[in-house]
Amino acid sequence: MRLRFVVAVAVCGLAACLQAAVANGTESLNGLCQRLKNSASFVERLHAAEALAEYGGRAVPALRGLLQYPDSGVREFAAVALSRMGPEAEPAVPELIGLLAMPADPSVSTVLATLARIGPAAAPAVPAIARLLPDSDWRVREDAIEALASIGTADAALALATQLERDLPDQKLETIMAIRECGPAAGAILSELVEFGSKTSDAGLRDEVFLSVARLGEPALDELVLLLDADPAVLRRCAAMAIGQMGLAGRAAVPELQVALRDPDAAVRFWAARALGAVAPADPRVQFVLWQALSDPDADVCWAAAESLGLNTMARAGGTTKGAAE
Amino acid sequence: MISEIWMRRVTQAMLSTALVAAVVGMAWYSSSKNRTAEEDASVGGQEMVPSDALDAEAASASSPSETRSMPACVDLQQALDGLDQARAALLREAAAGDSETAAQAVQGYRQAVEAVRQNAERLRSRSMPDEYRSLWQALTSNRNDERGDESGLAEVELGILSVGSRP
Repeated sequence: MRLRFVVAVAVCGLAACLQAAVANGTESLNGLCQRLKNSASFVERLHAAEALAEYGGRAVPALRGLLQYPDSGVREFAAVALSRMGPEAEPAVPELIGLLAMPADPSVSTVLATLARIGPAAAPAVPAIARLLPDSDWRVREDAIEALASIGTADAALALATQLERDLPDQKLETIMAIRECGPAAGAILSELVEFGSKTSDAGLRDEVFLSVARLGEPALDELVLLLDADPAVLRRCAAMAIGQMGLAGRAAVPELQVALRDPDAAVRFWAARALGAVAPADPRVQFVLWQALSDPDADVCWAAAESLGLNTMARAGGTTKGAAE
Repeated sequence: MISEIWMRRVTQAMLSTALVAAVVGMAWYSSSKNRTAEEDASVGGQEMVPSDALDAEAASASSPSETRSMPACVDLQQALDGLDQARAALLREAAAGDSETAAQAVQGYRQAVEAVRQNAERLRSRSMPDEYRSLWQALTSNRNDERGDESGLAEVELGILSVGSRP
């Protein structure tokens, strides 16, 4: 029995010793800052930055000081350490904004990545990031777009909307995806998005714009319903496709979609049939018009109506080789 | 004797405490795991589209294999087969050296390219952007064409006539 007691005490003692050993093995904050400032080795500096990041919020005041250091390498590694901390690095946002204002600073990409990792808490940096959007270096533009997407506020979405107006075709798709990442905040630029989607001649880009609009859900429904009446037909097609992507949130558009099911353009009718199945699959009125659409002259529309009614699935489950639409 | 009894009690108490702590720890760990899963699910539900809408979207979206039964997809598959045959005929006639037959083969090839282009455009207007891409890859993966999907797409979109060179 005494032996058991001794073992229990020994285990406790061992745990305490291990804790003390770990604590002693951790380099001090000051020591790490000195290593980051004075070391000539890239790897050593990186290790110091990683170790500083382990300190979390306690290291932020020291890193804020290092962000103002004359050596751009020190500034960059300080930004690396902050980027590892994520939202905890928020107090350093003013210094990071200051770095963005420095012309041709080599740490600008790292600073943008750090602001991206901080996320919505880096919202005060949006104007400074927006000023980099017309930069001549496409990588800086791309990093700025990503940072704005991660911040994801209404201001960030507005800044991204201005990027759509610029004559930089190579990054239009990235900008659209970034706006999509902004989430509900992108509702602030709903009309700009719809206008851009209506004007662009790039079919792929147009589809992505309308899919982004669809992600906004019910607030975007009115704009899309208006487009079901628009010219050219491609806009009506995109509107019907987007409403279908909303799922049940688009059920208020059922009457307009029923009208679209009689559109002269087959692609519009196709997407109207798909959308009706997505927004109100159990509605008897919808099922009635979809049954009528099974006799549409266009084979794809028949297929879409059968798909919305679940007939194709039934046919596949029944192992028949002919589709129900046929 | 008294000290031995006391020591036994202390040891038993320590072991009991450790056991209870282990059980409580396990329970807390498993509940926190469940909670994390629930939180993850709720965070997922806070996307831009309401979760019921996402469910409906998932339910209504057809998988690529299902979409392949769409007439536009079936017609494109046939047009691609026609393109393969037209290309083979073109190369055969060009090698034979008969200019009149070769001209006919060129005409047939042009028509086959046009048919593919029309059906591809039809499929594009009836599928989502990423869906179109995956459908195209699925359709071209069965073709006897070693050049890969991208060159097939380029051939259709640009109308490249590979006369005199390896198709």
